[in-house]
Amino acid sequence: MAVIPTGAPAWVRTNSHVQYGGDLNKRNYQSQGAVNGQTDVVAEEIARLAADMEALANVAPFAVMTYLANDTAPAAPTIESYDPMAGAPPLGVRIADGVVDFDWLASYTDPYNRSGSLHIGHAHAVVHGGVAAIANVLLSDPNADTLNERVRVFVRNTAGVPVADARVTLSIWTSVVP
Amino acid sequence: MPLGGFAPLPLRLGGNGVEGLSAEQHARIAADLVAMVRSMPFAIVTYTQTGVDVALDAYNGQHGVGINAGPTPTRVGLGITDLTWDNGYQDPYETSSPTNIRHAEATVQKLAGVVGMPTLVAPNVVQIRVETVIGALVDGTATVVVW
Repeated sequence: MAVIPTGAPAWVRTNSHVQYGGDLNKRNYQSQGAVNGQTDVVAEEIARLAADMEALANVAPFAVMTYLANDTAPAAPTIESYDPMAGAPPLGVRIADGVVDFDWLASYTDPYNRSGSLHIGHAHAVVHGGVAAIANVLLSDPNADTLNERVRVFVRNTAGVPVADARVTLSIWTSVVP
Repeated sequence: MPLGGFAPLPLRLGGNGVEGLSAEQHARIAADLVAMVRSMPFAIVTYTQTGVDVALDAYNGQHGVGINAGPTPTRVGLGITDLTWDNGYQDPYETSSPTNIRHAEATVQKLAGVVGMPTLVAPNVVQIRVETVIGALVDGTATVVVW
């Protein structure tokens, strides 16, 4: 029978150190510490591992991508590189010059096939290249399931005019489901 | 050697929450660790360029922390800096891996109406342009995050 991991996948942001093996009263079996530091694991090390796992799981990005907008020859944006906690790249749609939508799924699964809802709480976008341009983001819930699965990115110059064919790095973080 | 409290034993999954590590907890550690390894930044660096001088102010990298562990900053021109990392790094167990930066974000500190714009020049080189909102290059302090 396949093991069922404790808690939820990291991007759900609900795990505490306990799910990672932590316990405020952690102790070595029969209070016996390490006999050999090169071969033995002690309670204090497990506790540190668990505490730091909780900290990292709270803030790790769900995904970072770099994409190239296709406006001159209108087409969906080209996702040049994508590094997520889980899943395939989102669906990208060109809305207008300098405006693209990315839609993620409502949930993803970890390697043990445990599902976790995706609710995007933060997004950050930066425009690459040599001409001053600003990227803004807008989070939304396109299917009214209380989860933000969509990020719209706007790229404009300083006069507010849309910038076509921009290359952008976009990073997103999930938050607890409201 | 007879079993008992003083006999060395391998780390075995199981036991109670106070003294043990269950298979379920270990599986959660494994799953979440691989997820975070995929999405966490390789490094965060803050640097300042003033005239002909450019230097790192702070550095947090997966391979090391502190400005001595950071990339080499090179002034390319007014407001333009190249950050060059080593071609590869080792972990504490001397396992090497090449540097392969694929994403970069930059934010400028202190100056209003100024943006930082990265360009991926090479797998280990990121160029940052610091520009005003009317496109004029300026020196400044920028924080750069790379993956």
